[in-house]
Amino acid sequence: MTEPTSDTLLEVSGLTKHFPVRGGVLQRTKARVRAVDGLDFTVRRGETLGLVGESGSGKSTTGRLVLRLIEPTAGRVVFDGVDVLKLGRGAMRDMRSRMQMIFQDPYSSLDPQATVADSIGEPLSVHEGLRGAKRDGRVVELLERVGLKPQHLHRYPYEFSGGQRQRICIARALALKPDLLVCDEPVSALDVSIQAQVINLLKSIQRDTGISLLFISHDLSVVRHVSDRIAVMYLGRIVEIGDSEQIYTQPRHPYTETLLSAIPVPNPVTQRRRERILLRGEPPSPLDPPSGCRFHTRCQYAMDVCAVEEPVLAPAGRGSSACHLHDYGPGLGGGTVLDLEPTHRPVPA
Amino acid sequence: MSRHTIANDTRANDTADDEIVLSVRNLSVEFATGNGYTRVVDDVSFSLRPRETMGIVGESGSGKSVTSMSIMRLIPTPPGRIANGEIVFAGQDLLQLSELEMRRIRGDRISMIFQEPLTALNPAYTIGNQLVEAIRTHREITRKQATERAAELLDLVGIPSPRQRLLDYPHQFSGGMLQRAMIAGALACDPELLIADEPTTALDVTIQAQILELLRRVQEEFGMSMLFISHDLGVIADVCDRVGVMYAGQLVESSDVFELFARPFHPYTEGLLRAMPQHTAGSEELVPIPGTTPDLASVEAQCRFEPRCRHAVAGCGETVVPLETVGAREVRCLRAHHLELEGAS
Amino acid sequence: MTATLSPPTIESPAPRRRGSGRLLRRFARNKWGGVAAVYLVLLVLVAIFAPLVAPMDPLAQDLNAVNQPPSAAHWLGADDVGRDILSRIIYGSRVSLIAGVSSVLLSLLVALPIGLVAGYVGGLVDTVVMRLGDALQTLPALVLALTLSAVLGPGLRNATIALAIVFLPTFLRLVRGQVIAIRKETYIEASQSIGTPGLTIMRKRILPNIASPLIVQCAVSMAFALLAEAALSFLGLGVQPPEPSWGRMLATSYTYVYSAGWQVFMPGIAIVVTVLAVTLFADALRDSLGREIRRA
Repeated sequence: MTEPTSDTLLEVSGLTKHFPVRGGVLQRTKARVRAVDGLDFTVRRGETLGLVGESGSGKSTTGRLVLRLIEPTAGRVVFDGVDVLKLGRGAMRDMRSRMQMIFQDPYSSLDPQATVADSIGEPLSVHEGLRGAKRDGRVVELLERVGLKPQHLHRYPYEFSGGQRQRICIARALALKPDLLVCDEPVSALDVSIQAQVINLLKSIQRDTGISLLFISHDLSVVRHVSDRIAVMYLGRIVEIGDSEQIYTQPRHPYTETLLSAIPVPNPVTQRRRERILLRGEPPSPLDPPSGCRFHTRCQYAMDVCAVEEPVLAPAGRGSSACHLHDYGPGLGGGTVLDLEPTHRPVPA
Repeated sequence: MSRHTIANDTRANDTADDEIVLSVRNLSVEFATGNGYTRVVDDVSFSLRPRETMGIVGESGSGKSVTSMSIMRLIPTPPGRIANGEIVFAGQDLLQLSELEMRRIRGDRISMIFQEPLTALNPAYTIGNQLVEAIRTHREITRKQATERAAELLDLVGIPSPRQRLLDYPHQFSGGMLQRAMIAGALACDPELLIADEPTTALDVTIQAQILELLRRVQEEFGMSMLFISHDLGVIADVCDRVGVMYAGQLVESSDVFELFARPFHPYTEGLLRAMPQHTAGSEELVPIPGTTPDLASVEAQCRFEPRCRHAVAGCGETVVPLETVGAREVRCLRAHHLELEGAS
Repeated sequence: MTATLSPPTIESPAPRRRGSGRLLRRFARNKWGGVAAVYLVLLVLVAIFAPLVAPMDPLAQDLNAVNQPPSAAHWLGADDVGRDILSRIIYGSRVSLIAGVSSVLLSLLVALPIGLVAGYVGGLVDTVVMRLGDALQTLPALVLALTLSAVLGPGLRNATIALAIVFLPTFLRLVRGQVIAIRKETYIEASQSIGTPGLTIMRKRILPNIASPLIVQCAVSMAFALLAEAALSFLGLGVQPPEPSWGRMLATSYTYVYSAGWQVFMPGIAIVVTVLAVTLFADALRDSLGREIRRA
């Protein structure tokens, strides 16, 4: 784990969220969904950290925990030197102006009854007490920044396409000039041609303002384009974190390798020549995650030790990986799993 | 790549009609809106040969799903209506059949799987129950025989301990398992044609890879043709033999999959390819298509992509552009002969 | 295995602003809703301008006209003490409208804030509020209204209060249910992430989005209130004589149902037509509002 420096904007340690599953007449807790289970990561100023994982990995929960939209079960979230989880109501409200969020579904993230001016102006009136023409003036500036027009000011959300709505959401999130923007699958609901527009917009805003992004997505090929570093999550844990190009080209964890091989390449020649790793079975339930390494039940390289001992994130290349392959078995010693000879690939159990 | 010359007289697919499983000719579909009818599918033609997988790729609102629904005659009427065209399957025009005759074809000779398998299944009945019903609708066999067949099918699509899983309800299945069960149901009567409408869009990438592999396998085993609808060029590149690209209700290009990706003929296809994040290396800027898709209620007869096209010249926005045959391919672009478009990297 | 297909969303060139014009046009498409609306507007005007509209004093007794059938002098006839039935129905509309409108408003005034908080905050507050509501709902509405009126004592005011209490659980449940549904929308989470205070979120984000089902429920309740007020007055628990009210008129005239049937039918028709009008209006309103809200 990188040591916090003055360069660090966000430092998350031991972040954990267990959701109780209630049942029966008395609504007793029957079980716990271990959605997020002990995360450590940092986000530097001006940096984009990509958070990648499939459904059930806990990536979206992580975004909400960082913003304290839900209360963690355990762990620390330190934002610019302040322990966010210890803040009182008022201080937390002030803090919110410095960390904002955009959501996956641009259709439900805008109040259908509110005009664009009301939506984008909401943070301005809550935190700066702006009203009327003053507020609208600022809203117009924001509209222009995200590529919309001043005459959109008094329109309603249903008059806009998905891509335009996501621009409105970005404008709303930027209104208070936050230091951190959590983007929860911001382009997943958009068409490819529009996706690229929104991603380029986010990147240009980052260049202009030096804002830090926590970019959550299931799509590793999208994340690669926006992120400086990437953290790959599986069943509530980070299995690998590191430099974005390295994760994409030289993964240090078998799960990362699997994710990469699963993304179809839009070129029939290369796509049909690729070696594909087909995962066995379905992802295990976060109610009862597997012992040892959580990925061992589906991992093609799984060894005996993997079922027993849980691997910890240890330095591997320009990043860290939580995998026994680096110390046991073939002893990758921090190298990429792509270097594994087929002979090293144990027969699936 | 050699220069293509126009061959007006040679239709590449001049194969005999009996070698064609499905032929969609000049299909137009309209939906009632506030003021009159809006044409959401406009003059779409394509055909499918035995054992072939044809992909239809397009973004939201392109009309690709409506096209596939029309083949199954599942367009709700009203508000929808098929304004024009023929859908010839096994020598008969499906649009001329009675609802009863169509029901005999649906699920038997043509099957369909959907993006959201959960909504296509009845939550109140077990998976086994629904499979048995699907089989017994078209085959006169006993319940016992049908159950036996259902278990075989689940096994075939890779669901472990199929006999027990038959007793499960849909909510007890994960998304990937449900899609497998749907595929099992679709295969129940050994169809000649399988229509897959965004079958992996709701799934995680690792599960998507499993399902695509499964579809490829069962297509070979059953020797069926497949019409594969998707928004994802990556998925299309993976499974299809031929591709039709749809934009704003029209087929703008259709071609062999390798040729299409190597050198697209229509600027929209090129734009889609360039916009894919995989197209751009590292942290470079992505290449979006500017603007948004046109409002179908007010599109004109001329080129619908012209406002967003980087190759548009004066004149593109003025004339009606027909779908033109170029060798074995078809394209709807005035400048197709003059453009050297960029293919997949 | 079949599936249904919803028509593709087509982005039509939308007008610059969502005016009430479109709502009205859509409303007008429903013929009966339009007729009902016109009737209700007329009724309100008649109630307000009763002294100008009514041909006679509703309390004036014309002993020559006792139990007289409809005639040129008394268009709808006269009652057992010779009062003009048309004039009494016109004045009686005031009672019906006041009882209908104020019981619904009163109920809404109490239910709205409680339901908003219960739905938004959830947890223990929610449980307590909803159990109390359930307890009130165990009795049939009319029985409850009767019991409450009997306890509170007769009179229009008490009848109105009784009706308001009867409506309370329905409104509470509706408000709370709607709030819980809206709460799940991402724009509420977006407002929370901005740091908007809970009260502001309830007022500016939730309230406008639950308004349409509430308005419809108001109309439905009003129809019930009209009937209930008539029933209470009929049983002597509502408006006291000699004040005219539709229910009261039914109560005093039903003994003459065989000899002077029009005395029963006239207020009866007024009640039926008005309840029907309010119900049709509510239906049309729901249809037009429904499409207005959930376009996306």
